[in-house]
Amino acid sequence: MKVKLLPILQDISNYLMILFVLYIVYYLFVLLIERRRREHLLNLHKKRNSVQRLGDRIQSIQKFYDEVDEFMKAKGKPNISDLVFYGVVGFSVIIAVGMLLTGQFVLAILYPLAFIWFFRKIMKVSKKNPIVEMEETLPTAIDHMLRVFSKYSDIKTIIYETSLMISGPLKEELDLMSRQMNTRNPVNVLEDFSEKYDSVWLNNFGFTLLGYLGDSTKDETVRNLRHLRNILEDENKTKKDAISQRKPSLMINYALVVVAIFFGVANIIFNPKGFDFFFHSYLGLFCFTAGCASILGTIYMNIKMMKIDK
Amino acid sequence: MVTNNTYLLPIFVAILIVFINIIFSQKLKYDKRFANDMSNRLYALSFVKPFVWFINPDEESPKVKAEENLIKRAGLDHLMNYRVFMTFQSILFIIIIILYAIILLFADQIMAFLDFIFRIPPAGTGVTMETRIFIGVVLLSGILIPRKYLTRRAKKNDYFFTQELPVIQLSIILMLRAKRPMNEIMYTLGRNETRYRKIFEKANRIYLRDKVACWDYLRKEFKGTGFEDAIEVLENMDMYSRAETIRVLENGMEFLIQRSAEQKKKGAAFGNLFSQFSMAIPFIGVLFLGALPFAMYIFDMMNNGISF
Repeated sequence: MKVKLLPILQDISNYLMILFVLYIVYYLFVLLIERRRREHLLNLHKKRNSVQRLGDRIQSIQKFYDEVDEFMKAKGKPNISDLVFYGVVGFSVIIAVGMLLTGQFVLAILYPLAFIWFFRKIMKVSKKNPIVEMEETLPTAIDHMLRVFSKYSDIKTIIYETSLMISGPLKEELDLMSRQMNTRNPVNVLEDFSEKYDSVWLNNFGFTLLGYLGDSTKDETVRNLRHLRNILEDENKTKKDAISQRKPSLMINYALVVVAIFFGVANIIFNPKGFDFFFHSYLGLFCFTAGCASILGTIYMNIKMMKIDK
Repeated sequence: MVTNNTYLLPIFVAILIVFINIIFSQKLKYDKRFANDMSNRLYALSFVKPFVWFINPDEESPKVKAEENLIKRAGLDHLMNYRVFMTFQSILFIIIIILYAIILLFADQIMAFLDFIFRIPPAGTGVTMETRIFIGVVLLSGILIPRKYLTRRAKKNDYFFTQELPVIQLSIILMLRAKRPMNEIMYTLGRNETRYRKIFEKANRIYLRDKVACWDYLRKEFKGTGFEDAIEVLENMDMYSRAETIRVLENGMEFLIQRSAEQKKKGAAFGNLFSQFSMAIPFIGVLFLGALPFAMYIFDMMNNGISF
């Protein structure tokens, strides 16, 4: 009985050991992120890191790093942008080494490049369009503005008070406008605003306020703004409804991706013919490439489907 | 059936170089019609020998008109017209023919090269005729892609064309409320960055010269969108009270909003349908990474006669 138990115990202790190592790695990672956050608070991050110093010499590295940095800033986590950069590069190296081990020297170069290309594509598609964000906040902003209209009549004050109650890019825009109105003619400022963005809603918003400075009465302006707000609200609501209806199929898509990855790994490890099939036959190479491409394509498509387009 | 065709390779390369040289060495002797340099070149080529055979010289024939209309609906009329499009297609056709000839003659060599690159032990049987025909069919179907692209773009544009109309009507109402004159309204519409900017830009220029022609032009451009009523109202605005005109426009806007909402629902339904079908892509992943290798393994076992 003892003889049979021993190998099982050894196995269990091995697994526990692996789990322990993984936990330590995870803990170190958390500590690293925490340190980055502290550095960021103390403004130590302005010191150029090693990637940036390398980027001074090699243009393409700098370009890629800047993209990652911008992406992480938009996500609100600028402190870990170099970690993400190392992660992507590290994963590409793993792919390259893996393909070298299978003996596919050309693919060892092509696949990492394709992965980095895909990652850049993902960063580009998940970037939020500032105009869309502004259009989303515009109905709320108009609501607040109408309230402010009931107290003040001066356009500069109205815009400033409204800017205090909202958030996002539109807040900055309104804030900027009210400050510009201190020194410039409000009509010119509003005209600039109306032409600045490629959005009919923002154009019309500026135009209505221009009418207020012209010969429209306050009541007319309020009515026009309310009209604009209602139409835009409907528009935004339809877009959001369409997106929330797509959610279930997104979950299924991700579940299928996990299943595909699981089966792929299982085939390589447990299927005695799997390795040879995947890496040493044309059909297998095609299957492997198309399978991986469809996994990445699913991720791309899901992000694209959840995004409100202009 | 390894035939030694290698001596043909320089000839093919030479033909390709001569062909590319024909395209890029010609001097353009007239004004530039399009914004893009490539389109201008293609337009110039559409008058010379090999390409002129593919092009219908009669610009009034219904087929040519339909093509022009398709290009316009796709929003690419600043880049190409019928002649440019047909030239592009014939160049594509010739390139495909040359490419296919190369693949057909050098299939075995290409195969050997691929074997070398992907380090797959050569099968030694050569490329079968079926594979060659299959490659030909795939390549030739590439000719259909440009027209498919145009049609898709046109459909998408048709959908979006009616979507922003309520906003345009709203801005007209707002400007009328602010007591702006008609020419200023036209000017603003032609300057604002909307889907209809080009139309209103042109309408504004016509308006300065001939008001009736301008209304006719607008009516033609917005045919079948529900915006013609607004144009009608604006046309004889001077004869009636401004307040009543605004009221009519406001009521018309309700109709436009309703209509665009209906269309949007249709579009959203399509989007949802698409999101359900999107499952196909990860499913292909499961098939290729999971099922196919396993099936190969099973077949292999059966062939080798190993009993379970």
